[in-house]
Amino acid sequence: MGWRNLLCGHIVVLVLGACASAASDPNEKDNYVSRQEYEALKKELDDVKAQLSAREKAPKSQEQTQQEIGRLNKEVARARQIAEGSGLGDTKLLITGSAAAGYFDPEGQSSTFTAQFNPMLLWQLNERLFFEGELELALEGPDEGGEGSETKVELDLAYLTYLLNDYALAGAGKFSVPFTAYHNHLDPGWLNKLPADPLVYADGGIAPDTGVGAFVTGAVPCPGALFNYAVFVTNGPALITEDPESAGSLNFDNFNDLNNNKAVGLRIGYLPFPQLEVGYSFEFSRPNPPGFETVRSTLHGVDLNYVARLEAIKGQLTARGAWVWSNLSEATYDPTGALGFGPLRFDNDRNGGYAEVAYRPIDAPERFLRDFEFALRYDRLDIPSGAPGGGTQEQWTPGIDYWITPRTVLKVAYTFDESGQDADMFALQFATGF
Amino acid sequence: MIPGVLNQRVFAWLVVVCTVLSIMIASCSTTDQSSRLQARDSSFGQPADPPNAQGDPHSSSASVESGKKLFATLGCAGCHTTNGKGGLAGPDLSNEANKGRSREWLQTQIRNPKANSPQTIMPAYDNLSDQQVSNLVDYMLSLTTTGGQAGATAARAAQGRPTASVASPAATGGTMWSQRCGQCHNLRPPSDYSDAQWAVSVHHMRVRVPLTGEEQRDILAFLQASN
Repeated sequence: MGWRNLLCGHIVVLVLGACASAASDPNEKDNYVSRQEYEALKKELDDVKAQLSAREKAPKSQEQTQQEIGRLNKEVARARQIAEGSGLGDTKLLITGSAAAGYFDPEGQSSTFTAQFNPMLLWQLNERLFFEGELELALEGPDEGGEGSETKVELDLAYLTYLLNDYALAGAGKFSVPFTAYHNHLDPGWLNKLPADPLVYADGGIAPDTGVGAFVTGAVPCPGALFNYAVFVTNGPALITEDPESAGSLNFDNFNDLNNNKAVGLRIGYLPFPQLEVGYSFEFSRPNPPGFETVRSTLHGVDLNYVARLEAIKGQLTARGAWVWSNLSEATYDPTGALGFGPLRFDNDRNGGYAEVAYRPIDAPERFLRDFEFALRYDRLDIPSGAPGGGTQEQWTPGIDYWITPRTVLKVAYTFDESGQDADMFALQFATGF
Repeated sequence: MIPGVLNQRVFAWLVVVCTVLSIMIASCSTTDQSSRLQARDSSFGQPADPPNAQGDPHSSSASVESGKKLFATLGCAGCHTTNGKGGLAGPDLSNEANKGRSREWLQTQIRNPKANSPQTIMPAYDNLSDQQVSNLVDYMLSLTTTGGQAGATAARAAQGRPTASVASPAATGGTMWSQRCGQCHNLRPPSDYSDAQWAVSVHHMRVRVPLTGEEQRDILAFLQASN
C-alpha cells in the first residue's frame, strides 16, 4: 500500500502545482486558445458563411417580392408624376379649343363652304390666378363685287381671373358676357346641337356675346340646390344710328367705349336639382353717341337648360331655351334726311328667343343608334315694324347629329323660315373640340 | 334649294320619323321591360345610393356587400346611375343582370373596357384584385330596378337613415363631374389628360360654369384618380 499512497501523493502535488501555476498568471490563459477551441470557432465561422451564401442564392419569398414591387411601383409613380409635371406646356399651360368646317346653302344666296378655328390658351399662373385667351380665325367671303376675301383674326377672349374664396372670383379683360347662358356655355360648334346659332344670338341678334370690362362670379350651395351668380361691368354696346339697314339696333362689338357710361348687368342661375338650371339676366347701358344722349338700353333675359338621362326613352334628353327682351329709348334717326333714310322714328322694343330639344338614344340596345342625336329648334326674333329690317322672323330647324367621338360631331340640318322671307337654309357642319 | 335631294319638308319629316323610330326601338328593348321613369338624385354631388343586395342567387351577401362598398369608394356612381341615382357619363347599371351581361363580360368591362367598347371613355381598373373585381360583379348583378329596391330606399329614408353612402372626395367628384360638366357637353375620357392638365382644365371650368371651390377640388380629385 505504501507505493500507492506515494503515487497519490505525487499526483496531488502535481495538480496543486498546476493550479498554483495557473493561478499565478491568469492573463496567460486568456491570450491563447487551444487547438480544439480554434477548430470549433473556425467551424462555426464556416457554417455562418455557408448559411449567408445560401440565403443570398435562394429565391426571395413572396412577401419580399411584393414589398419590392410595391417600392418600385412607388418610385415609378413618383417619376411619372415628376415627368408629367415638368413637361413643356403641362405645368401651367393647356392649349385647347375648337374647330369647325361647314357647308351652308341659304335660299336665294350662293352656297358656301366655311372653316373656323378657335385656339384657346389656358394658363394657371398659380392656385388663384388664371388666364384664358382665345382667338377666332375664320374665313370671310368676298363682297358683292367679288373682292375682299380674307382670313378674319379676332381676339375673342383675353381675361385674367383671381379666386377670392370658394364662392367668388373676380376677373377683368375681354370675356364672354354672362347675359343668359348661351355664349358662355353653349356656342362652340361641338356644343351647339345645330350648325347655326339661334337668331337671337347670331349676327343681328339682340343679346351681347363678349365685352371688355370686369366681373365677379361664383356659385353658392344651399340645401338641396345651388345658386350661381355673375355681376359685370363693360364698355357696353353702341347704338347704330347711321346705317340705313340697321339703324336703331345695338352693336355689341363696341370695344372702345363711346363715353364714360358703362354697361352694368348680372345673371343669377338656380339649379333646383343637378339636371336643371334656370337663369335670369339683366343689363343696363347708355349706348348713346353724340346726338342721342337720352337713349337708354335695358335688356332682360331668361334661360333654361335641362339635361337628363331617362330610362323611359332609353336615352338622354336635352331641353334648352332662352328669351330676351330689349328696350331702347325712342329716338329719331337721320332727322334731317341727309343720310337718305330719315327721319325715322319708331318704338324700339325687340324680343327674341329659342327653344330646343334634343334626344340621343345612348342606352338603346342597338349600338349604331347610340351615336346619333336628333335635334329640333324653334327661333323667333321680333323687330319693330318701323325699324330697318322690321318684322317677325320665325324659324324651325330640325337636324341630325352623328357623334364620331365624344367631342367630334357631324351635323346636318335644314332651316324652315316661317316669316315669308324665303330664308330657308340647308347646313352641314363638322365640328370638334380638342 | 337642294334640287332633287330635299324639297320642302322632306328633311323635317325625315328627322321626325328617325326620332320616333329611335325612341320606339330604344324603348322596346327585349331584354328590359322596365319603362319606369327614373327619379334623379336630388342632391348635388351625392353619389348613388347603393341598393340592397338582391336578385343574384349565386353571389354571397358578403361579396355583394364588399362590392357595394367598393363601388362607392371607387366613385363608380360618378358616371353610372344605379336605381335612379348617379352620374350620366356611363350607362345605367341598374339592370345588368336583366340585360344578360355575363360575369366574364363585366369583369372585362372593369379591367379593360376598351376590349368591349373601343370608343368608351371608361378608365381601366386594372389594379383591382380578382376578388375585388368579383365582388363588384356580384354587386352589379345583384342590382334590379324593381319596386322592392325603391321600397327599401324609401323605407330607409322614412326611418331617418341616410340614403346615400359616405364617399371620398374623388367619389363625390365623379358625380359632380358627370352632373355639372355633362350639362353642357359630352365628357372626354379622364385618361385624355395628365394630372397637371386636368388641374388647368378644371380651374377653367371653375371660372366658366362657375363651380364652387369644393366642387373644383372634388372633381379634380376624381379625374386625377381616374386618368
